[in-house]
Amino acid sequence: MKKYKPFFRAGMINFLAYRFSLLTWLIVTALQVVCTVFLWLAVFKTSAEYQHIDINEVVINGFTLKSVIVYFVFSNIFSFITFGSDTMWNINEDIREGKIAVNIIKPISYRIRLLFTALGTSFGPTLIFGVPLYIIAYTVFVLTKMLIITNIWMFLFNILIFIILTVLAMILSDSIQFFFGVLCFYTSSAWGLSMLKNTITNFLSGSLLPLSFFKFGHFDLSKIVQYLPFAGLVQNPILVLINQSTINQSIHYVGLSLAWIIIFEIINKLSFMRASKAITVQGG
Amino acid sequence: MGHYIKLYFLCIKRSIIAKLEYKKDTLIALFSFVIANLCSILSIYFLVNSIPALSENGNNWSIYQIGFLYGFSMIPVGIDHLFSDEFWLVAYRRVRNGTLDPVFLRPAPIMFQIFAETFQPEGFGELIVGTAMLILCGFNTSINWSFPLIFMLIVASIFGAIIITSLKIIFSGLAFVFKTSGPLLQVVYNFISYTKYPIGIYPYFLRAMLIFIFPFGIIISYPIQTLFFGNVYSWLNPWTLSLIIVVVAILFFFIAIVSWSLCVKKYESTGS
Amino acid sequence: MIELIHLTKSFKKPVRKPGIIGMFTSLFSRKYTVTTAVNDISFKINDGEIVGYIGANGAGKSTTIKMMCGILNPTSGKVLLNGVEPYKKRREIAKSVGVVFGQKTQLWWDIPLIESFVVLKEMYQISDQDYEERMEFLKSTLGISEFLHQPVRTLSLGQRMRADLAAAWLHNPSILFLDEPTIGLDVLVKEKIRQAIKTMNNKYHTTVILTTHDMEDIENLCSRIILIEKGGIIYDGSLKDIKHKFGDAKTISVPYFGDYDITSLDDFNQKVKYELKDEHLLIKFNAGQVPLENIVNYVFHHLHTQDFVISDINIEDIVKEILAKEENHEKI
Repeated sequence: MKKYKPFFRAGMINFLAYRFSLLTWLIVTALQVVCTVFLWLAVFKTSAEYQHIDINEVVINGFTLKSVIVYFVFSNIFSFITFGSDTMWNINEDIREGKIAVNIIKPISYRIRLLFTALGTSFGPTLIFGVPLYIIAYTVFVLTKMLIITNIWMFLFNILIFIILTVLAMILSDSIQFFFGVLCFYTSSAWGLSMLKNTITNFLSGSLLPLSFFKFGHFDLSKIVQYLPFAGLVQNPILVLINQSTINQSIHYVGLSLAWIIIFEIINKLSFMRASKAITVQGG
Repeated sequence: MGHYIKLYFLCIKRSIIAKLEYKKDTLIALFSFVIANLCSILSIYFLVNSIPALSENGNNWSIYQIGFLYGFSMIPVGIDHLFSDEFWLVAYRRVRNGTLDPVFLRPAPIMFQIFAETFQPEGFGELIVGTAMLILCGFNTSINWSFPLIFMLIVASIFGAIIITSLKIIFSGLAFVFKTSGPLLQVVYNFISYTKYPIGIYPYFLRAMLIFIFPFGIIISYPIQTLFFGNVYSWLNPWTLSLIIVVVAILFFFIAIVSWSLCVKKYESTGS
Repeated sequence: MIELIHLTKSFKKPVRKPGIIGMFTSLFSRKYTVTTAVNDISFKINDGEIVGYIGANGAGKSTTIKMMCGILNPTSGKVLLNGVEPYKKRREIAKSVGVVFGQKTQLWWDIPLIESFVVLKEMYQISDQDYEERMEFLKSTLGISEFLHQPVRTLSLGQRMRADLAAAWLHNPSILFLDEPTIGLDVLVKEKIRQAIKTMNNKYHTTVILTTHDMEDIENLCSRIILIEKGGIIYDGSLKDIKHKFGDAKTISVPYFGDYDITSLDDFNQKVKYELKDEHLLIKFNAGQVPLENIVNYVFHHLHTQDFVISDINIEDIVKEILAKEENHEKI
């Protein structure tokens, strides 16, 4: 375990070294949150007008205006901080520069090395930026009555589950990244796959839209989508954090994420073994 | 002049040959792009489907009108994407990893070489999806088509692309000064996605930003608003809007060229 | 003609404290350290010369070359290529300059080599006739026909270096900058490349500036060498001159199996250096100071052997000596 520590630190230092990009990413996130909030406002306002009720009484797919705004702020902070991982690009750079052969020979497990570099990239920022941000946002929301704590024990329980789900989400995200990374072996295309993976993940993780919205009229897709691994990446942790989840549901989420991690790890181990036997070497 | 045209086509041909070397990659990229847009469209669909229509500033947008707006927003983006994709690489990594040295040693303008470096078929993905949305949603909306309106849309598409490209040039040029400017370019580029929705839903300062600073509102939001709900301001008819778009495009292109020339002078190879 | 006038280049690097906390604090600090890579160097290179520019890694070779090409701005002083400052008038000088950077390629990676040439032909506006003639020349000197239709990414290092040299020279530049062109190559390919450079210089009067660690490159190609160390020029002169200064230095190589008593070499009063290498005893001395016959006598009589080889000193040793003298602040 100790031998992976340098990769962890390297990942974190890498993240911090990009001071320019850090600042601009903060701005991107802030602006996206702002714009989405206004979109939601318009949606709820329209709904309120049509139903002739107060805007705060409108409930759409289980969300009130306040809860959906809280959801969005946290889901954005969460995605930004937790998923700075570059595991997929790490694999692809290695292929291009022929380092894979060297890396497989090294006695450190390639897979775990990548994981720890990725964890370093996301763990560091999570600690340094995330925790204060979460605390500030949470406090603001409670003070402005957007978020209501009914029970101190539920609150603590939710925080605990949130932390667990966050760590699971990081690991799961990395597993999925690795899965797509190995696909690169077979298709020699990183850019396209990376886009595909990011879009599918973003879409199905609930970061664009809570999954309860996934309905076509009477055809309710949301039931299916909630069981996909991606739900555990963003939606589930956030729902727990903002007290939108019962105890049963929370435990259910933990189990779901764990199950998917196990499934992906098995697939990854098998496919990586297969792939490293069939390396195409580039160049002379 | 003819030399540059010939050179450009040779370079593009080279770029396409290179892409064909990676047939799988290109096709997957195109496919991914279409999927990405599909997800985006679905998001809006799911969102707006929960309400009968979106009311904004006195205008009531039906889901088809929003779809049409979304489709149209992809047209100038797609056109720009075809030609200026290499600027992303300049912004993100090429200044730092030394692959710009050969570019500086060749007897052609740097900007020209960056344009000529890559022709990106992914742009067709945006154009296809955008056009599909326009057609599908267009049938379900009532538009009184007239020549001024069509002219306005064409102008907005082409000159809108020029504005987007100009902004790309300006912000990727900053990489020469700061070694990397990818994330900043990303921020600016993201503003385009805000015009996928009627901009009336945003507060004044954001709308002002989308009109006066990064004029994506002028090239996307205003034309479509004019199309469905009539002139945004009484004097802003299709002709004046088209004129404004052209003027703004020329202005931005001029700024882009000046800014780029200044930034290029600051280029320094990585030394040792 | 290339002129360097009091050329200086310094780099600013932000101060980074080690560790994670250091990383974080350096986000907000504005402190810089300044390293001077090239420190007030001046020299002139005339048309048609082949100059070897040598020095240790980090001595400032690549930095100087980059300023001479125009892709790096001097901190002070200037470079003049035929009267023009290359970093100011980049496009003007582009057609008269060709560059090969040993580590990186200027060719397009994913397409057949010939396609790169086609683009370069148009880029440099090379006439069809010139193009045909030069391609013939390149094919015969560098043997690029064998891999002309392969994507550059599939080429071996040797093939790629030949391809890069060909591409750099295609527009018949008056000046060719070669930054470590033979690094990592096998003997046969090195020979091919050296031949090609010689012919380019002979037939087309290309001025060549070559940085290298390979002394054989220098021996084979350069009429003049410039030695740079820690950003400053410590020697600038013709190859003949430098050999002459040290030229009376000779080495006698005697097969050695541990059975001679060599302590008596010390009798020569420190004017003789000896070294044991690869089962040979190498006796190095300056024939101007110690008569050759003395050493030969010694070898015959003291070492009782008739099996020996006398050779002139090689560049590598000369360079070592110069650097040693520089360290000791001796005059060369």
